[in-house]
Amino acid sequence: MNSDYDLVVIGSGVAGALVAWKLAEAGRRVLIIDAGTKRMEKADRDTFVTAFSQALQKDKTPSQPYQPRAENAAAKVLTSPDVVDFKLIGQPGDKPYFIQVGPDVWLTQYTRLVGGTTWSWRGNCPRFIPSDFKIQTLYQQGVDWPIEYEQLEKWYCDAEDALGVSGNHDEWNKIAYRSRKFPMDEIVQAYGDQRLKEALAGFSTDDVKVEVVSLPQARNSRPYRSGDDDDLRPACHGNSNCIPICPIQAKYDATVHVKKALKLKANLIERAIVTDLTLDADGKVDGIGYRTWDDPKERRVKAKIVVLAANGIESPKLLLMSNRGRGIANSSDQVGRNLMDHLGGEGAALMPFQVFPFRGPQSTSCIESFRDHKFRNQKCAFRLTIGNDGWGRTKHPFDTLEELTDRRLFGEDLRKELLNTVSRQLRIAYSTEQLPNPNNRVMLSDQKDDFGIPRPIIEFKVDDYSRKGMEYAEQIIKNIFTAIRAPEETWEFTDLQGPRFFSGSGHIMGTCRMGKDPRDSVVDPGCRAHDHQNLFIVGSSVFPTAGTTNPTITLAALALRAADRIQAQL
Amino acid sequence: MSSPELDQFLSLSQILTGESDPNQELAAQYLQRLKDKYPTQMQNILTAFGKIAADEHAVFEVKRRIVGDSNLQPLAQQIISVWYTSEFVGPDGKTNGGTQAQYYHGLLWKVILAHAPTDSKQDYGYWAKAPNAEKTRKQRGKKP
Repeated sequence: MNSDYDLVVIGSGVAGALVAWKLAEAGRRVLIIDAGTKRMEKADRDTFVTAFSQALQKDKTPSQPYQPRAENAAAKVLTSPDVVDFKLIGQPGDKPYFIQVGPDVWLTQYTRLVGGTTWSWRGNCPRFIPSDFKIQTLYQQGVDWPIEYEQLEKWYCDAEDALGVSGNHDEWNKIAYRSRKFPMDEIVQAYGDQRLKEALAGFSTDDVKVEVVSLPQARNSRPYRSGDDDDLRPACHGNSNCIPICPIQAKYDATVHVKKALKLKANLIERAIVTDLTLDADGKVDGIGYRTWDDPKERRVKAKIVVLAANGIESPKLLLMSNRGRGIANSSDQVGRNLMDHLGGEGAALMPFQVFPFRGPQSTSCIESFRDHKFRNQKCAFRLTIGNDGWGRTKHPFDTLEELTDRRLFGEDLRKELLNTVSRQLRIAYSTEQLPNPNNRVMLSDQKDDFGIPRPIIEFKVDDYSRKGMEYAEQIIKNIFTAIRAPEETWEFTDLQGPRFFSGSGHIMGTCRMGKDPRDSVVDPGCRAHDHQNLFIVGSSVFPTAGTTNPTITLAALALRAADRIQAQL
Repeated sequence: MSSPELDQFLSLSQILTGESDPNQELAAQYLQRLKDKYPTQMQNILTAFGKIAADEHAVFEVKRRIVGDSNLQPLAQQIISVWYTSEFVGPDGKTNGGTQAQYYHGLLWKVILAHAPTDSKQDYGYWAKAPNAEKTRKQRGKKP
């Protein structure tokens, strides 16, 4: 095949950026195509920060930076899915990008921007633990991964070096074996977390010792460069705004590796939507069809290897649209199925001591004690994260102020009560493991988006395994609040009986899952499509199960491992 | 920039917010924003305050005549809001937002001994210690 490139990478989020960087570093001809716009310079970041600070509090959308909406006000496809998408079809209001058919509502979005959703992640980087890879064997739930923790461990280390993860080796070596230290010491724990840790010293519940440990994060605890070029990024200054935007790039985002790839002579086509992957007679992908924002005419490019790195919604959507609408990589009928997120919720209370939130990163500590709990065969496992942002989703300080002024407080009384209340606000968030369910899926709609391509239909249901795990998490947080004597009349919890009984985590997993058997999986253990030997899929869409933790460092490890294999195949 | 109206607004803001030295430049901006949305009501509240401003117990009189007055209290609440958050709710029920400088100088952040998100003036690791109230006050008090 006469190819324009050795490699075309579709999507420049962390998975795509890492693969592009590694292959460009190996001297390969690399092209990156991204649906978003390229805004990677400091001036762009400053523009986002200004937009954030000028937005109304209710519009400071907590999971995406600010798209250049003015340029494309009518073209929803060119911006990110956002909160208007969080509703079932048939409800009045904005025209959503997602066609949600329920019965539950998918509550996670993503960012269309070069660098992807890492612009607006929190930077949390706990690894999966060994049991996460084999919950079928251990607990008769879900499926086992086709690889084990030990096979990924070296790649975890490389991913931590690449992203720049700060962490405490001794704490985390007890949680999952580590062959290498983190590249940076842990981010120091917030004052309030230290107070909580002291208050919980020696505390156990359900025979489990509850330990508050530092949270590994791709956020610099000292100036750090990912490699030997001149990309030194500063230590965190504690701007308390990891989501939606770090103003100084102390937190890693994938523009780091997009820039590295470009410096190594990779090419980038921004503002371009890939609409079709075509096949030759041997079943190899022989063409990539795309259109740019500004030109509806389809363009085509050829590559020896294609790497699909969109995300767990856009990647399966493209596979289903490809081959002129007949679909590719789907002999297993698994493309788009097993959609998962880490369903979340939180408990909030006033502490009997001051924690002084909104100083430092939005979270610096966590409780990992329930990631492999003794009831995992009946209800899902979970992690707990300590918020350093007051009551988080439960109540913003602006709302606390309004409550106090509703009570006609003013002047010095208002100041004292505001400090007394907000300085004691602390939340503990849970993040739960959702099982793969083939009926939770992404499909193509007959309805077209503003770009003229099918919108994604999302079918999504939360099962009892998840619900029981969320109830268990709530119980554990209640036990913690009781142990530290947080006044019960101040407690607030996500209402597990209400219509919004969970929140999305931004972790789109499972729609192109990995497995050894081509009959029930889309890619092999090395992320290559079973059906097409020159198509690789990277990102959390390949996860067979979700575990409990943020997927980024695991998907980064898998992407680096896949890059090694791609290099060998080229 | 000083005017009797602005001076009156500054004095009223001082009592409502508890801020001993409210920034004059911000006061002018907030006064204009509030007058744009509440022209008559702002006149009324400043007139009411004018009658009690010189009282030996002006704080008590503000409590009795403004915060305790069901007609004036809603606007007093919005005056507090704009100083604390840079936002206030207009008579149409819509929230009115401020500039970046106004957001960064929201009194709320100063009162809780923090800083507005994206506006840290400190170095790595400061969050591991309890805040120093005096230091925080000085850092947040710089001109917009």
